[in-house]
Amino acid sequence: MMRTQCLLGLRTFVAFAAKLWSFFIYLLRRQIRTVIQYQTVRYDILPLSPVSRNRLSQVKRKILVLDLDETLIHSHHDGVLRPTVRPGTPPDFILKVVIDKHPVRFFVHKRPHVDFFLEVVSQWYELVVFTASMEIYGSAVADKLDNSRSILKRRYYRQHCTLELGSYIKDLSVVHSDLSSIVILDNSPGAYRSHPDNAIPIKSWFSDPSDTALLNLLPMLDALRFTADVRSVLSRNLHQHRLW
Amino acid sequence: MNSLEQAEDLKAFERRLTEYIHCLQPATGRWRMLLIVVSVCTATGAWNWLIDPETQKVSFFTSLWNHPFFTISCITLIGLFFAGIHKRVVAPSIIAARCRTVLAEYNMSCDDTGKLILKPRPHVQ
Repeated sequence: MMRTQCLLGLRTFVAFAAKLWSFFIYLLRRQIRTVIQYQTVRYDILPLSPVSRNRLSQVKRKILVLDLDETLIHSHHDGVLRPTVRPGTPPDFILKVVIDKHPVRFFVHKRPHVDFFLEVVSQWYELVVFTASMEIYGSAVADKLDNSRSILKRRYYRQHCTLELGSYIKDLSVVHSDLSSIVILDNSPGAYRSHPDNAIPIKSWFSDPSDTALLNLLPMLDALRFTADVRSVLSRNLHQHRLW
Repeated sequence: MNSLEQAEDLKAFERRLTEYIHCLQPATGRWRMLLIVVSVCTATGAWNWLIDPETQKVSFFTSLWNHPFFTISCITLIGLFFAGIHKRVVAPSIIAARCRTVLAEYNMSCDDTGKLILKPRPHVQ
């Protein structure tokens, strides 16, 4: 009798200790992410020279079209058997969306530095979200990323894409008629097939916590706003698109 | 789009890159200065700590307590590394390297000051 009670007590204790340990690991993982992000050299806003300021006043303000999935975030829903992220990585936020009358939970992971990226580029460009996902999901993600800063107000979804050979193509003329001042940032080359000279490719992101692809783009995006026509630079694209 | 406009655009593009990297220099210089000062303090502190005959007799923590100058500068140095000073002292080259990563996609490159290097378009085979 005494023995069974002792065993039971021990088992409860072990279970409790295991829970405590996993909670501790969870906290540690979050902290490590913060430390990594803090250590990385970001991109401080530095003042413009008079020549550059003058140039900026002569050219139009550009539009930056952003993709969501695998560009700014990565998500998986609870029905997926093998999630692409490492198990145990805490999601940044969880979305509950009803699709075809079924409630689905999406675990959303933000790409490293995405908040900083959006904060900085929103000062240079008019931001537009253009995603090939469904509106109900896309708008919820955009709301979370916007975080009531009102920087992601214009949004386009799957219904604004054209379906060609099984892939969704994003038609930039829907967003803006003047192609000299619009840039699209997307991880899938298929999305900007009709506007290759306006595209900035980016590597697809799934889980790497030390990814700096968004920070890498900042110097280029900073400099690009001084051009009269973004295609002067972007049309030099070799389109050696690796299948990312 | 004529080539004159394109050249003008590329010039403006390059101007911002060089200007940004140039603007980074003073801050980088300050970080380097700070790293040197703290390193020298730690080194002198360590020397004094090691040559003190008391250090070997008393316990580790007591010896640290006896040499607050070494302890404080050492903690500061560790703190600076945690804050990523080893990256901050080379910030301009990090930014230039990031530019190169992105510009490679556009058949261009840049040097450490941000000056553009345009490459000839490769022949289609």
